[in-house]
Amino acid sequence: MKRFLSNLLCFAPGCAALYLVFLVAWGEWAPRGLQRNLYYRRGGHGHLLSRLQEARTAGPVDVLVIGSSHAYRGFDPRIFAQRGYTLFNLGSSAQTPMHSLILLQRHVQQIRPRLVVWEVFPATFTIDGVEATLDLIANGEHDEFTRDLVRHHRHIAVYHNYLFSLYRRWTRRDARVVEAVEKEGDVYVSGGYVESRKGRQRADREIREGSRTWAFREEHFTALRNGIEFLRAQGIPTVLVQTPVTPSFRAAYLNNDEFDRRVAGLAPHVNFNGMIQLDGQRDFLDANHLAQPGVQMFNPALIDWLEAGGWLMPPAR
Amino acid sequence: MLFNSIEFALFLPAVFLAYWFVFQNSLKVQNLFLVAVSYFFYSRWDWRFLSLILFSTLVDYGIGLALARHRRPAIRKALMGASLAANLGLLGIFKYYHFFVDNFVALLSSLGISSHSGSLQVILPVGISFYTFQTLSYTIDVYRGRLRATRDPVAFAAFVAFFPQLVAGPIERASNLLAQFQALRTFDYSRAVAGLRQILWGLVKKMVIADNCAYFANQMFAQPSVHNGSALALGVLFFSFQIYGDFSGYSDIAIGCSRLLGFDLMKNFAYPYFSRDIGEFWRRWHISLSTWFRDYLYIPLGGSRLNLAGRIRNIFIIFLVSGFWHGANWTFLAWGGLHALFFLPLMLAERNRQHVRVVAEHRRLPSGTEAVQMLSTFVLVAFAWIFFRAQSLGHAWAYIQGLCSRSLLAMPEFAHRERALGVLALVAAFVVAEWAGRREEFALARWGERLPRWIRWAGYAFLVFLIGMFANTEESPFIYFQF
Repeated sequence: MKRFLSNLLCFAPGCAALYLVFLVAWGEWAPRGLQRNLYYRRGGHGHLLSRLQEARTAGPVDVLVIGSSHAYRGFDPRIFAQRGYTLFNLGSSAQTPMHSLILLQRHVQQIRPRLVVWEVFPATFTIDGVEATLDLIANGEHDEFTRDLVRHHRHIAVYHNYLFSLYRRWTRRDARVVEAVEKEGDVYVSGGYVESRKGRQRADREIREGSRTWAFREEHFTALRNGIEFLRAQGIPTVLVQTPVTPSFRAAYLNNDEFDRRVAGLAPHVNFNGMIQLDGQRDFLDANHLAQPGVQMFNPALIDWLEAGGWLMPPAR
Repeated sequence: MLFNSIEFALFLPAVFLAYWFVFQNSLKVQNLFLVAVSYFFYSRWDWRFLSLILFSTLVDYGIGLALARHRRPAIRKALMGASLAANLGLLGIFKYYHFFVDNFVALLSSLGISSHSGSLQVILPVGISFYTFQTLSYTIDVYRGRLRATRDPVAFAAFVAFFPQLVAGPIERASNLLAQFQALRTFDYSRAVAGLRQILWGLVKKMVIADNCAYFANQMFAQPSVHNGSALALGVLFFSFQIYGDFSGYSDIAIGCSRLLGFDLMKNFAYPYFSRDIGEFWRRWHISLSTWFRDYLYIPLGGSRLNLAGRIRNIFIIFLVSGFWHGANWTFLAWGGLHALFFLPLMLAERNRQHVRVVAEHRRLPSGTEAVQMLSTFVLVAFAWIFFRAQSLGHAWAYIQGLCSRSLLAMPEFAHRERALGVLALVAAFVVAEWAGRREEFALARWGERLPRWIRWAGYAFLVFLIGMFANTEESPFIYFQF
């Protein structure tokens, strides 16, 4: 028994050390199809690396947009500039309010917005947020917020990515990564925006009307409330905006109204579904992301709404 | 509590340390401790169903004692009948109630008689098919005079509820396992190390192979109509490795845990996908169940001593009952029936026992004939899995129709193909590892025994890493828990 236990005690630290070696080797050389719990994509989908690099020198701006991929694909700084406003977009893929709050805490002092437009999408209030955390670990800076996120998730992929990112930064391999402006049909536009030039990506999956419900997680509403409080303490007003989705996608869910009611209780809120006429094929990339023609219709309508509400003051022309 | 959970990773070492350091001085106390932790283990699913285990334990312990007292055949028959009625009655109520009621209602409605199935919702208790068969084997062996009835209720309770094999086998015989509860166990270094290795290999099978194959098998079986034939063929391949990795992985972990506690359980799998015919497959797949049916059903029915018609009848009975044991669904009956059909030609040609020894026993690679035999057996087995996996006969038929279309020869079309390629690479590596270890009890049993310790340990660390890299991050129960 003594031999058995002493061997086990010797094996455990050696195994832990070798685990790290295998993790690094796997991350560097294994094909992506074999990287199940190590999804490290510096400069990956969504141009978060370029956005966060630009955020370090951005500001002050009239509008800061925060939220999911609907944010970085739905609020075009060029359209706002045409109306005389500056805008920066801090959206990231599958970003939950918890991640939005972290990005605000990191960047709001530098960007100094007059208004924050917080894009709210019901789906991001239902997910665990691991996808957004992996994106932030690979492309963002490492600070106490990152470590809090890693502890919060208790998820093996998050641990793997964090350890791998520590190695990549320690060896300065990440510093050499330069993100292309255009990749996979997505073009990064200064101000944090991503314009897709791919057109309609895929037909909507048939989802029966009223066949689904959003299963919300309370932690996201709490994070949203904390984020709004944080901005209020900085003297920055917040408005909550829902970007349009296809009518069939919205109709599939039974409790959209519940979501609208809950977020409207936290800050001024507008839901653009049904407010503007969009074409389900031409104006959307897929069931819930706007394509550029859709953005060109949605953004002016949003600016009009913000001006009408006194959130934006039209510049003197 | 699942073997592949953090909870079990804490539970097992705690049990191990208490078992060997606190309770090692008294056999009775050690057994009592095993009963307590086994009941705790089971209660983590649903404590209410502990009452069924207790019921089964008390009935068969009592009947065993009564059989030891009575010599009159009529009384002994009545006692045996009572044990059968109690155990199979439990199974009938908790496992087959819905099946019989629903089919009876369907039959009445086809005769134009309207009826409804009532509202009684019966939940299937985890592991009921396993422990009822295990206790039944005890009573039958005592009835046949092949085993002496035990007078130790604690040892008997531990035999029925022993946590490593309680919920999904191997289905042990009292002659093997009960006897081990009645003898003092001593810690054996080699056995414990072999146990740890087998646990590690079982976790690889479950968490690296089965759970990753499941992702794609579920995708194909969920919507056979939207996938082309080649994608559906891949779905069958993925399911074949899912079920093998899942169930044999469970058995490996169960056997490994038992070894840590000083017990030897029977082998449940012996590289079934390297079988050269269906007869060999059934000597290598779920061995504890096939031998149970052989000993307690096939042989009492006359086995192979009958005339041709009788032998054919027996083959169909054994395979259909085996299918029905897995679940109360026509799909399982169809699965069993298919295997009976596959087996029949071998039996008629009296060639069902021609492959008893391991394939290519003294060679590195199989001969061309052996390769063709293994491949054709695998194709038959995999085809039958469609019925096993399908929700209904209609679902299975739709899957087969999609599979047997012209698109069988086209490129597979489904989501996440890059990941699927990765899983196929894992499956290929797994098959190579299993082939290399096919002469051993499990593939890792003697791996690297001539290598320096540090290389061997690095190999184990690599397997631990693979588990971490490919583990599901959500709970993934073992398939056989539902049986």
